[in-house]
Amino acid sequence: MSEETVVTPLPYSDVLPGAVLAEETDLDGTSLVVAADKLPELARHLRDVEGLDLLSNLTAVDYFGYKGRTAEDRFEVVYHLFSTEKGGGPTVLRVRLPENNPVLPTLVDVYRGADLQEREAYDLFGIRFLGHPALRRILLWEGFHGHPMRKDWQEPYYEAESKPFKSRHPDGNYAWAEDRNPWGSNVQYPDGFDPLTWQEPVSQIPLQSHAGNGASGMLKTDRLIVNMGPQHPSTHGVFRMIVELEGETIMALEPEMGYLHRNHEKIGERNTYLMNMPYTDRLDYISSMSNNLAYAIAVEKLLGEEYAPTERAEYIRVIMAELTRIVNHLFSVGTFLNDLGAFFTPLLYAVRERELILDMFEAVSGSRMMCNYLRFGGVARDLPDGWLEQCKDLVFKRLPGKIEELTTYLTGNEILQERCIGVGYLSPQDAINLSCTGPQLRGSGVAYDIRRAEPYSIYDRFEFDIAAFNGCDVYSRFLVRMEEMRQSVRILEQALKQIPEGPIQSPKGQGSYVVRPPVGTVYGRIESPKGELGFYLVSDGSGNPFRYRVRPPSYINLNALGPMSIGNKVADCVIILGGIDIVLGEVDR
Amino acid sequence: MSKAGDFVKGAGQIAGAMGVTLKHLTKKPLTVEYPDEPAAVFPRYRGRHMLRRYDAAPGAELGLERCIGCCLCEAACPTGAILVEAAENDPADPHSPGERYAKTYEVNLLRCVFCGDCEEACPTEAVVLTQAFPVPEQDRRSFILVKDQLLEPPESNIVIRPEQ
Ligand code: SF4
Ligand code: SF4
Repeated sequence: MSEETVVTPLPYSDVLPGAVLAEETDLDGTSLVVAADKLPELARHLRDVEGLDLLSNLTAVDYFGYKGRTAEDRFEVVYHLFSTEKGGGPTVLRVRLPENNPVLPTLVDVYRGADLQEREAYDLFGIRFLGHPALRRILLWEGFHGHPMRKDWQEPYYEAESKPFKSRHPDGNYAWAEDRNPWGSNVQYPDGFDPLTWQEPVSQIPLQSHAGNGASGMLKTDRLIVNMGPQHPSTHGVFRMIVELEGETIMALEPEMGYLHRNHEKIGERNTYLMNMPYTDRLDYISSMSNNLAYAIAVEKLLGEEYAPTERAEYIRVIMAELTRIVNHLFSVGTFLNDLGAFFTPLLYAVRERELILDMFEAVSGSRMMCNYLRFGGVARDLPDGWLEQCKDLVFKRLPGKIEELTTYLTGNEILQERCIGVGYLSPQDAINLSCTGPQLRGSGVAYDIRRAEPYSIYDRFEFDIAAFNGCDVYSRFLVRMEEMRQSVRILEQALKQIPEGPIQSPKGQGSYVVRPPVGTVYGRIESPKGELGFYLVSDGSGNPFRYRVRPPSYINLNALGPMSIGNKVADCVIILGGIDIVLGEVDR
Repeated sequence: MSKAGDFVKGAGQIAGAMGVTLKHLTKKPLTVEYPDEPAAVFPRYRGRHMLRRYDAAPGAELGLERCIGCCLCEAACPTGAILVEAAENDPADPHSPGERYAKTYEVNLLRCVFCGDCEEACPTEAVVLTQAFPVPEQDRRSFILVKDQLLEPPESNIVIRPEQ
């Protein structure tokens, strides 16, 4: 390089010298390599001065065996920061950590929403976050040996690094995995761990100082710890809330999850890129088309221009994504009413409309819930004849009336208002700080919708309003969902009118079963019905993703469950949870 | 508002809600009593697999098998549910028009997630997902469909809807 090269100073070197070590260019923008000890300071500066108030994605990558990486920078913790005010793309921070001592300071003090994601990174990668208030395993239990997302960790039924697994068919026969590794020798415990004498650690819920024993001045009551779940009808799956009560008032609440954990991300690394498509259906199984869309968008970013979807495919995708949003909100509103005690009648009214939309999905993709419909560069098959007419009938004639019917009987309902208004208060600042997205965030009055903030696909062509209500309570979240259904119908009306004829697959994407994207990383995200659904992918140039990370909205929205519930009655934590709208397939992955 | 006003308003709301309920009394239910009544599925529905044959030549009872034992479906399957073993065709009595055919073809329905990727990968349109619902079985072995079973069109109590 010649000597005249102007050395541009590294970003933020004037305010925090030495914080940013390098600036790197990646497939989808630049990122900053940050010194671990300066990270909280830099994050605070970015939050307060630069307005990057939303820590959306926090994850780790194990670069073991990656070209150009050594033991010195084996681990990397990646942060994606966004601004809810200005919108736009992410500011990406990377912290590189050595193999022998992967420790860095926590960001919980700056962004409280880092809590669950840091625990997950600790659980799956063994990266320790100094200063985290309760750095314990979250998806796995304490008797689990090792950190499964590390590249050198192998499961007891380990078969091969990537599919197809030849070991499944030795000598042309099926082999059941458990026969190969009989019961009893497939479990390893950490050193010094004895499953027979092990006791679950006493919950570490911090006691709230503002309300002591009998503080109400009325009856003297003892504090009581109650486990709600894992088998509890209100938890929408296998999910546990450890609730500390005084009388009926919640003093502290801690979510406990992982019962459905299957290490989706490790499975994703063993799959080829396309093989992951049916797996994404099973994350949030109420809205599989949205999951497909988020994954396809991330991989298309990785693959580049040639795989850009065709016009018709884009329209089909938007139609499917918005139908999915209606399906999801119908279901979420219905089950929410169940939680309120309106047992199943409203749900069945909602589910009836959902059935009709699922019929549309079945006609197109061949499956009602596990659609597996999108492909890189387009969609799997064109719409069948007459589908558009049917869909127009549904969207123009039936759905608006049905949504209004639900509104008439629910929104103004006195019992619903009594139970919901003022319950589960979450201020806008807290909602952002706790990394909430989706209806949870917009129910606190923050009009942040990725379809507007960082438009993907062709959402910039449609007219619609962001549904936001500033009651900051469960009722507002309910209203957001009702309003979003109306807005989805609006988008659908436009898309169904404008959809052009043409190919449904980019020429390059046609029949490409094995894609080998260039080396690099991307983060693709969409506004899924539950919030920001993102996929963070690291490619090493092979046919399998090197790292496949899902940013699950319902998992991260659970950050707010504890803060929202404190001070409410125990019966209300059921509807607060219902208001978050979680799906355990996505929470536990 | 007065007590009487409350009462009237409440009664009105209840009557309205009951009206919606009663309106549905006269409507036909959306559910069907499967398996006594046939379930309606769309032509693209992804159900149990089948291996297709070509149309029978004049005089012959059965057509040739489409499958040429190329193993592409096995490679495309995300769950490792398919097993194909290929063998050379006997030119005097071929199983398939190509040089090779599938000696063994098995689908493990316990692993299969009915994603349809095998169907998409097949170059000869041999393996397809029919609209039939897979039947429950008593033991795990029976969930492995072997080639003879796959060559038979499956039976299921379904009606196929017109494409809209
Ligand atoms: S449908 Fe999917 S999972 Fe089942 S055998 Fe075919 S490729 Fe495999
Ligand atoms: S079914 Fe199709 S893809 Fe599979 S081995 Fe036969 S010809 Fe190949």
